Amino acid sequence: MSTLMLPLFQLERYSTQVAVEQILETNEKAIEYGLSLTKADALELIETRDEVLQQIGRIEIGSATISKLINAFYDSSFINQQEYSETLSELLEIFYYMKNESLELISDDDLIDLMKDYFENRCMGSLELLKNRELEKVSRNIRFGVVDIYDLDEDQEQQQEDGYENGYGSNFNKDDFYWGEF
Amino acid sequence: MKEKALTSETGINPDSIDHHNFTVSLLNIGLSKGMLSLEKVEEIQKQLMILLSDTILMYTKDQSSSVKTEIAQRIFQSILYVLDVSLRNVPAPEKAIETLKNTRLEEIYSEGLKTIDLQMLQTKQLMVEIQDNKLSVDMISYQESIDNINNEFFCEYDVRFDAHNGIASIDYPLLCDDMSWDGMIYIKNYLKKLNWENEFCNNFSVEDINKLLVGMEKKMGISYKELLANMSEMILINACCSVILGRSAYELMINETAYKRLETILSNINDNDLLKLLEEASIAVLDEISIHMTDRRQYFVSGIKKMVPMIKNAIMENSLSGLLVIDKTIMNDDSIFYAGGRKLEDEELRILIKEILGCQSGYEKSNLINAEIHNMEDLIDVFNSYCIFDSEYETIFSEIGDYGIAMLVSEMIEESPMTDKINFEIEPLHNSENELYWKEKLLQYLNACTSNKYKTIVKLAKNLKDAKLG
Repeated sequence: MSTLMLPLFQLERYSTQVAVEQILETNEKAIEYGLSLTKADALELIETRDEVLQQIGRIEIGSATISKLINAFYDSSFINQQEYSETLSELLEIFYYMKNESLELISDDDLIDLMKDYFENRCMGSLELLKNRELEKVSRNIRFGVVDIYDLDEDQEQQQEDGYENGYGSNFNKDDFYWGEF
Repeated sequence: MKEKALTSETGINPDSIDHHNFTVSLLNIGLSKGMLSLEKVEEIQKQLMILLSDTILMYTKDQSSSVKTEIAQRIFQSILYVLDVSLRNVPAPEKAIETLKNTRLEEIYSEGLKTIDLQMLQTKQLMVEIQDNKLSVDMISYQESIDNINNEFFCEYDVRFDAHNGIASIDYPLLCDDMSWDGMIYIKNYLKKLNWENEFCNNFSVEDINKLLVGMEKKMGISYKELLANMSEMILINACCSVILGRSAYELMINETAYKRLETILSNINDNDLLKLLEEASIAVLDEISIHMTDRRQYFVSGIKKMVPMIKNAIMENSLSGLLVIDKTIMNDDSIFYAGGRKLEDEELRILIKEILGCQSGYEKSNLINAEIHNMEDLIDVFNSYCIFDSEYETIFSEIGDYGIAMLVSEMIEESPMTDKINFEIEPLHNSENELYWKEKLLQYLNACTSNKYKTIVKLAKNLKDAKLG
């Protein structure tokens, strides 16, 4: 990156402050479910976000993702106050991991919705199953060009018999999502 | 980047600016000179991040707030490229810094996009001209580079997310290419120079250009169709050598005898004189083919100057023939070179004149003159010395070449200011009897030439006279 981004750059401090405020705002609704985050929790979430982004080679402008994730999951039946912050950290990690694995074919909102659906209705609150089973299947569907990438129940052998093409499959239209790989 | 001193009294030293990272360079200079406060620079950085954020969202069509690092970097570089384009339009660096200070970055960016749009139109126009004047040679790199720019660049150039990337496979090398630029700037410059080179090359016959290519093919051992060589460079170097040999620039083909004379000339001069000789030869070439526009002339003169170390090296290693195309099928050497060649000592000249007198025919005399005379003064001394007679002059003049004849007649030009008509006058009072005699023979020879040859020689003679007077 340009040297413009180096030591003099104060935006990081500016954006962290805004991000903390956005995260703490979610407490207004989350408290109805007995959940809330402290300022320290918020800072930890931001730190987790930054670490994960760096590890997997992504850049995010702004902090909307954290708030969106919180707003989607605070009403989950499987999250309690004791594990709230830690669960959100792991969900954040899974989210960014999936952004790469999905080849940018799933929008932020759709991915969060997907994660919530699977977490609640298929994984019964297990983050391990969410990441290593459900979302792994979605990634595999994308890599093998399965038409319906959300179909997690179709047998893999059946997929091969039906002769899916490498890539995205004959009926798969990238424009149906939002943008393809650059 | 090398540190350059900043001019403190009169403004910013333009050499201290990195023109390839213009915006960042201006910010650094502005901050160091106190023209921009730290707070202002931070504010500009924030605006830049907002611009980046907005552009990333545009890239992802608002569907994602994160992208892979390399994509973000590419978009960031693209934004800086557009800002650079915009700020380079500002007349002075001080004013550009003022612009950064007083104008929102979004607005500067928007102006940059408009400038690039305009450059795109200009570049498309250049392509139209190139399609019109491109050479009909079967050189793959040349033809494909033009096609690739036409098909790839114009269709795929992405000013929003990839402005710094001039997408096109370009293999054909230019005479003088500046690859430090990229994106639209590079493509536009490439086409501008290619257009100039096409204009230059179109002054020469396709047949001769193909002969040069075939000559290179034999030298390099690969088909000329696959050569990655610049055609105007080949033509320019051969044309310059032709002029140095006293011939017309249009006579690209050099035979072995002429080559040997050329080798002798170039081996016997020092480095400074070599540079000067080649520079003057390139100017003579451009004069002869009527390329008068300053930018084009500077381009081709720079081209020959760039070749000087290569030519010098070739001379030192006795491999000058590797740089030229020598046509072994040309038997008759029609050039007597006289520019820059060694002048004979008086005793040598006296012996030569005696030998010439002993020759039985104009043809024998011509061969002897070709072999021994390398200087115009010596040639004129021979003409003045009662050793050549009648039709022997015609034989000798036909061997001299157009440029040589032009040099001889340039002294005799009389221009009528009323009609612009050119006449040749021989002043009886200032010429000896034999001088009058051979000069009359010269004018008779000139008047008997074909119309085209006459015009070429007269034009050259006039240019030579103007150059002397100027």
